Amino acid sequence: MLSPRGAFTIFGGVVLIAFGFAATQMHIAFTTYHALGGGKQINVPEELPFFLLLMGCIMILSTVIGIPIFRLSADPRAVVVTRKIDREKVFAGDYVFVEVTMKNTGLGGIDLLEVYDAYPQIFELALGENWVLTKLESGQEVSFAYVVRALKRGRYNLGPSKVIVKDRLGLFFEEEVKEGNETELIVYPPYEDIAKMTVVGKKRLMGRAFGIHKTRAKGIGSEFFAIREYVMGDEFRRIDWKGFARKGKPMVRDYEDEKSLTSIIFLDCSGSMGGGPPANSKLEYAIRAAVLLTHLAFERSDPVGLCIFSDKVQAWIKPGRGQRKFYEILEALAVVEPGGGANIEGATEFVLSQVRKAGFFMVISDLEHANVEKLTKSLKQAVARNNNVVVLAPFGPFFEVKVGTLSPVEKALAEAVAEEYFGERAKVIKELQKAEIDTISVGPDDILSVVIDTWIKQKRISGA
Amino acid sequence: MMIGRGKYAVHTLRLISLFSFLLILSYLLVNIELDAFDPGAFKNVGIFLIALVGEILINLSDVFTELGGDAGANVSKSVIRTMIYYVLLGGMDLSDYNMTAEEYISGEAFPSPKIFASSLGSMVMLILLPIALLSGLGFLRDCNVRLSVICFFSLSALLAIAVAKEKIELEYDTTSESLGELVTSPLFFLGLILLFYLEISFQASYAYTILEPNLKRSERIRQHIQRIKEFSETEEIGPLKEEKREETTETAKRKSIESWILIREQIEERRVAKPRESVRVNIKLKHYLESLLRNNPDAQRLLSAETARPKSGRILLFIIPNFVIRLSIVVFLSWIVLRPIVFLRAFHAPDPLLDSVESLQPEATFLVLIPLVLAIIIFSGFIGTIQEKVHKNVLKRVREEEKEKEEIEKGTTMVFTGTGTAPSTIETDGNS
Repeated sequence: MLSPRGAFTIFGGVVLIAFGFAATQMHIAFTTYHALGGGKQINVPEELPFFLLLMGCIMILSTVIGIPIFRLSADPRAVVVTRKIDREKVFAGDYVFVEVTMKNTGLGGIDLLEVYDAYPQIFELALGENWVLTKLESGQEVSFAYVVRALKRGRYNLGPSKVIVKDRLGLFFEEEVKEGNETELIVYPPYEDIAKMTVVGKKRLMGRAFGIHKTRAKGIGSEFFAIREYVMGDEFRRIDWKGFARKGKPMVRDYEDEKSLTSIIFLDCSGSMGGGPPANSKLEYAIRAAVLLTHLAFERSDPVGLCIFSDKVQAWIKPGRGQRKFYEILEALAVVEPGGGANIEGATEFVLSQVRKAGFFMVISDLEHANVEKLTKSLKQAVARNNNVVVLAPFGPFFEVKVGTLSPVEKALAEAVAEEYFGERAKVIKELQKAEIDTISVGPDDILSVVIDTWIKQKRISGA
Repeated sequence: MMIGRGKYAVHTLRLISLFSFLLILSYLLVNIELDAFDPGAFKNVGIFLIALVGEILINLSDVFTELGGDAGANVSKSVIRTMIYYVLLGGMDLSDYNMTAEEYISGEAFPSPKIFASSLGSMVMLILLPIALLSGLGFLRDCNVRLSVICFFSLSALLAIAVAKEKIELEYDTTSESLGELVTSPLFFLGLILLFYLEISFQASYAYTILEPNLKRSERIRQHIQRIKEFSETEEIGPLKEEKREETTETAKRKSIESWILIREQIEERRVAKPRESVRVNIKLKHYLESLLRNNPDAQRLLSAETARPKSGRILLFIIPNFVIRLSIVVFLSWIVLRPIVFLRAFHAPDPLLDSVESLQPEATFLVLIPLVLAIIIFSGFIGTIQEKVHKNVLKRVREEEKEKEEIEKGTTMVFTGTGTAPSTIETDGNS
């Protein structure tokens, strides 16, 4: 409670009083010594002890009288801190406006109030400051705000706030951390890839996809396709009477429906996927790839499902379409953390038990924990159910090694390790190829373009 | 420009602290006899210390002689003193110590400790005076409390030494029981001004602490926002642009075909250049800020914490009465502590105690000081307990009110809390 300044003032007072008494005793000692015939009289003026005592007393008293006043006015518990954010869910790289309000519910005014509002270390303070220094009268309410940039996906807490109350002279202080006043913020994976693709590459990339998505099933549906001559067996309700009148023979209207491609993303979140720099690990890229694929599919109204797995299935989102489903998938991806092993077989079995309709399975896994036999067997089952399976395998060394920063020895070691990895990967790819399963090794530079190409290819295949 | 405004509370308090500082300093300089600041004090202190070290050496040589017998260094004391006098003291005049060189070398006389103490006092005063002056003036610059504390202690020590050396006459009646007489006595008054200086400097520091960072912050954030608002892609490559412009101008002067090709290439390069990461982030922030300021008119005020900035006038209004009350209480309590007899009489202490000589001794201050301090601390604890109970009730009430408010809000608006809710980002240009 006593601040260093307050302690120093009291200590100074005590020292002065001690000197005062010492001076008194010296005066007595010198006088006695002189009276006993011990040399010259050394005079200690009477005012000296008094002056030292006076200064000591006023220093102690001026500090101590502040205690009841401070107790009466300053209580950090009386400060209610609330926080408001302009959005509860954001994409990585987005900004969040945080408004902090303090209200003094105490009976006395607070002379000096310091409030520090904590935000996750991974966030970046973009504008404003996350602390304030103010004076708060009883019942008064003041606010301040700051803007932070959420840099990485995840579930975060803004807060708690630390409240420090001081008296005017800085002699006393009280502090309290307002535990429990945190505000949850969900940060989705970055939207940048989608935005980039939409803005920069829309013409080029989507142009390539144009037409492919028009995989139509003629005859049923609601969209008009063409008018043709009536043949025996056609429904009477489909006769186009205007056409009949114009041509003089019965004509029928044909309708069509778009054939959708159901995609299921298998996302491996095992410990090995966390390799590489935290912001650019295999898992982060895998999540970005998943977001991109989801967006591509939803753009064409194709249903997408998501299975996040490690040792067991961590999250399962049934295939669906629409914006709500998109955010459901994003929310699941936002909170994925790497850990545990990878049980692709278990995940495949689980999904096959959940989904009946055939579609496109994209497995994003580094295959580092894979048991080749089991993996091939389970994916074969998926293929047998008329699903197209593609394994997108982030290649570890591409994510973990920055060649430019390595010494020649480290570089040689890295190359040796990469070669070993590559050998193992080649074996797995060979086995999977036997089962007609495409496996693509990707690095951070090409993972997103491979996703786009693969999806376009799948659309083409499914339409063929 | 904004920094200058709203700080008159700080300036006023600085001015008062300067006034009190100058008052003490001028009082000291006028009343202290000038010979108290004797520059020869350094020399006298040096002589004494060297002579003292010499005596210690001589005594040590005695010890060695006794320990080593004939083999020990049987060095004459006079030789050592002569060496000290001529080598270390450089044959200095010892008249300040009322002795001659011969007297010192022969051991008949030794520099007087009393003169040494007096010289030491003068030396300390000579050191303390510039320290007090510099720290007192330094405090005015940025209201650093450390400097005011140094100044306070320097002035107090200066005064105490002057009193001890009897170089200043401060009347004070040690037997008087009247508060008025105590306050008007020069010694108490000087002590009071010293306290006044310390308190006012603390208050000035408080006003500075609460106003200055907020004003600077407002200005800093205002400029930051302005910079973001004015940010454009071309601005980011400013220095590069300047360099290139010079180059192109020079080349263009030559009016050769190559120069025109160069210019064209540069223009094309700039037009198709991919924005750097920092540019992209800044543009994004600019868009976000624009949308924020459009949707929330208070955003700028909140960001610059203008709403949390106390008003200068109000601060001054609070400080002055508080300061006067504090000072009055301190004077009153000091009187009680320094004149315990008054206190003891008020509490009907037994006559033998009241009539005793001890009650007039400085030690008697403890009779009142310690119980008084303890009483204040216990009283504070009592206040704290009551305060806690009151706050519990208030917080309970506040929580109930908040709960009611939340329930009302829930009833009127639909809040998406489950999965699948879109962040507003996607709908704004600035973030998506």
